[in-house]
Amino acid sequence: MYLLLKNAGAPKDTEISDAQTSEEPAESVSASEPAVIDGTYSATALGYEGDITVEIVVQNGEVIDVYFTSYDDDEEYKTFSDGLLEAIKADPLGEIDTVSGATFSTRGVLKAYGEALAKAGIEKH
Amino acid sequence: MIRKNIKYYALAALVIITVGVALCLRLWGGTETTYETSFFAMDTYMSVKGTGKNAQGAVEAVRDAVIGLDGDLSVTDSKSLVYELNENGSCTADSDMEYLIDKSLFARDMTGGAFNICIYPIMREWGFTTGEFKVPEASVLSALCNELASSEVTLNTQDKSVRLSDGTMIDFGGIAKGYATKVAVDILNGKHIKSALINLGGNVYALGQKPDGSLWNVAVKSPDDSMKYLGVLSISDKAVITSGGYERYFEEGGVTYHHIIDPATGYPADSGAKSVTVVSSDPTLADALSTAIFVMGRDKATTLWRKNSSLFDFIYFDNSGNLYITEGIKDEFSSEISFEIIEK
Repeated sequence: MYLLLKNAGAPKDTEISDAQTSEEPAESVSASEPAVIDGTYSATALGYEGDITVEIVVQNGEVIDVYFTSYDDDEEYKTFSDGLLEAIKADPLGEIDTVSGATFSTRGVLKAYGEALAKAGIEKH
Repeated sequence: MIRKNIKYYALAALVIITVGVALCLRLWGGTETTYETSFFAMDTYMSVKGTGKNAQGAVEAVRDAVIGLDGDLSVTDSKSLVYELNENGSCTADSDMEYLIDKSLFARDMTGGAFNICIYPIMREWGFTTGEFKVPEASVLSALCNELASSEVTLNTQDKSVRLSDGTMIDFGGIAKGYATKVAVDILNGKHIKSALINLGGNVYALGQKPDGSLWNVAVKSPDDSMKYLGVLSISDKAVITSGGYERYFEEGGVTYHHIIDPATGYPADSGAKSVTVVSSDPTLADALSTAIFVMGRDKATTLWRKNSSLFDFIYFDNSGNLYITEGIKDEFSSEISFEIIEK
């Protein structure tokens, strides 16, 4: 993953590591700051109607995975929650506001969708 | 009688003052909100987020303007001014076209022709303007390149008339999203939005600062799957515009053909660049320069930057996995991979 956790108590207090540092064990993190201990951590919170348990996997001081171990909330919200997890995985410490990249084309998808609609005999407005 | 009048005037004044204060509170004291919208335009996906008083009105005005520009700048829409110009070889420019031609010619001259809006006949031959991809005959491309070398666009700044030399056709495709970004920024500034983030299909503009007063963090996408981002820029009031051959391309006979065509050869640029990001306060110029630098390669781009370092900075990732940034953004850029700083 991308960011090196330096202080579990203050998630904002992070810095981007270089490739070499992130490969070193967590013990190498500066002694003046509390080191992050690798392992699996979980916590439970109330959603709308039921409990949600999220587990994170920390390796070499970084969050490398996030998932639900149980999801007892309304199934209707599950899709949104799954989408939220994907967003968290892409940017575990909430540091990125947006991404600049080469422009992707929507033409193929929209063209195929239009053709499928036409085959179904449905007219697009 | 007089006393009655005084009472009447006092009451009227009180009403006026109350209404006035209420209006002032509404105009100046209204609460700030954040509003975000996403939409499809210019063959890509766009999102705009703004914070301020009447953020919704401002963000929706941006969306409407960008969707409007999509039609106005289309080379295939027979109702557009660009279509008329390409058909007739002349037209009277509106303010959008005037700005775009002026900026395009500036970018062409600045980059020695690596950016050129007259490349349209070649792009059309490859099918990049319609999605009907094909590899053109070498002889066709070489003839089109010869025509391109002598193509001219002239704009009369007095009567706004535009003329194309014989056989010349233009397309603002390489600069339209940058211009749309500029229009978006102008609208947001005009509506007193002090904090906004615009992302038009990967073309980013960070307006002001985040609502909490900190800088915007804009990541640069990696063209390789091995890592997510090339790095992160912490910026304010800057455009971050990226060109790469990894999103728009097609394959034929086992060869990948991307959409950034070198005007000198007529073939996809092969300068060694894999991803080029330009950082500038001018989004329109940044869009043109990201394409041009992708075509030029690192050495020529370095020379260009040294002459114009007040106008832009760039991030260059090559096919061998080397990352370079120019000196002007060294304090704004951070990365998990090592990079070299290009100095003045």
